[in-house]
Amino acid sequence: MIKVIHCLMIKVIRCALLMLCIHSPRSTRVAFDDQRGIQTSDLMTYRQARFQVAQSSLVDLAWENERLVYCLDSGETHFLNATGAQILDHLTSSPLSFENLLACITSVDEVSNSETLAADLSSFLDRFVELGILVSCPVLSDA
Amino acid sequence: MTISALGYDLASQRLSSPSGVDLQIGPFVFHLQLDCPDLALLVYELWRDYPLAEGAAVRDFHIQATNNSVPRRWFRPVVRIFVDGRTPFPPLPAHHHLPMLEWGLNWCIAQRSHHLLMLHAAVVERNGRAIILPAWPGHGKSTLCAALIHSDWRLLCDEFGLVRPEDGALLPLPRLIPLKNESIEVIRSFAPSAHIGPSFYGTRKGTIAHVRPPTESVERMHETARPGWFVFPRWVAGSPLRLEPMLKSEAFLMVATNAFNYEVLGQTSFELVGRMVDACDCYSLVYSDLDQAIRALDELTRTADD
Repeated sequence: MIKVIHCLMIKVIRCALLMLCIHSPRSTRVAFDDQRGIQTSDLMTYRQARFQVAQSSLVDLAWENERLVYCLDSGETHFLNATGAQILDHLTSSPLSFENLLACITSVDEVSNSETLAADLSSFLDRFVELGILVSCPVLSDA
Repeated sequence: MTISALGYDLASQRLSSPSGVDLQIGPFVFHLQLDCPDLALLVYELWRDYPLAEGAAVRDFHIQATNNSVPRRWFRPVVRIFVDGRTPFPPLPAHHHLPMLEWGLNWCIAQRSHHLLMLHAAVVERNGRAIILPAWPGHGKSTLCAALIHSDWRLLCDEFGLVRPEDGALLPLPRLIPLKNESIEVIRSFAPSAHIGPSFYGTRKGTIAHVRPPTESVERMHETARPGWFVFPRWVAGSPLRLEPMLKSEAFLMVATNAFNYEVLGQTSFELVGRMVDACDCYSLVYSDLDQAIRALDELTRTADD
């Protein structure tokens, strides 16, 4: 009986931890960055990462304001909307830090709410790195 | 020499003999051996224009169709298809022999033709330029294709849009066009001259009848075509005709996701589909009336030709 209760308690604790991970963007991001080998412990450090296009593994096509990207490593094709294409354009010429990229996007889009934009950009970058479109590395100084 | 030139008796005899018959269908040579007299009769009638490929250096596919043994035929008559001596599908009722043979050919091509990009699309040609009609099942692709080939368009294919990666040329594969359910009567009344085979009832896709490819399309099956237009058709009952330009990126995604082997060819597919979409005008077509749809496509392509 005690053994059964013990097992149940462990399961309940595991479920609670799992839910925390799923619902906390920060937890997800830290876990994600750890996978990429960046020793980040908070969002500020994440924001100091530098991003660049994974050019050696990308082929792309552009029509209108949109882009299609083929990743040689994964063999997957990705469709980027105008915003995604814009981010890629900025990073194609040179690697940029999160803050510098944010500044580029903000000036172009004239968005007053920079915090919202930062959060959106952060989500974009997470996904792009995950898909192999971008690579990130710790920032030293921007070019 | 074509199957029909042999005459029925000789064709039937050769099809049922152990040595079978080699046939050229588009870019492929099929070795066919039929132990199924009813099927041999239909092959003679509907595949009549395919040339024999006697002495072909390479046979791409070995197809054999057989009925089950005589005692079993009394209880449950079935037909089996063998591809290179193996049966990729469970048997079907014996009276579904032709649909099974056609599905068997589809399976062979889809499984083993990865030297080509295979779009799931009908393709028709006029003046060297082709309309590519990619569509999901049930969107009216085959019906529209059957109507077009009886309206002065040449049939390249109904199911497989074969694209040669080296130069982006579309290779003809003029095979039977399977019409389903209501489409059979629609084409009978649209094109009374169309040669439509018998109806097969109760197949997994409902009732099926096959349109024979026009003789000219088979005779010209070595003539490739250039992609001219992507048109994504969708039949919607009672809908007014809508032929609208599509964004190229959207067209790309629809072509890629609808291709049989996009992932297999990887970067080659990406670049090839990109070149094709770049070179073509892309449209979506919603239709309910075949006459209207064909007039609209004629108008579209005539404008481009001018």
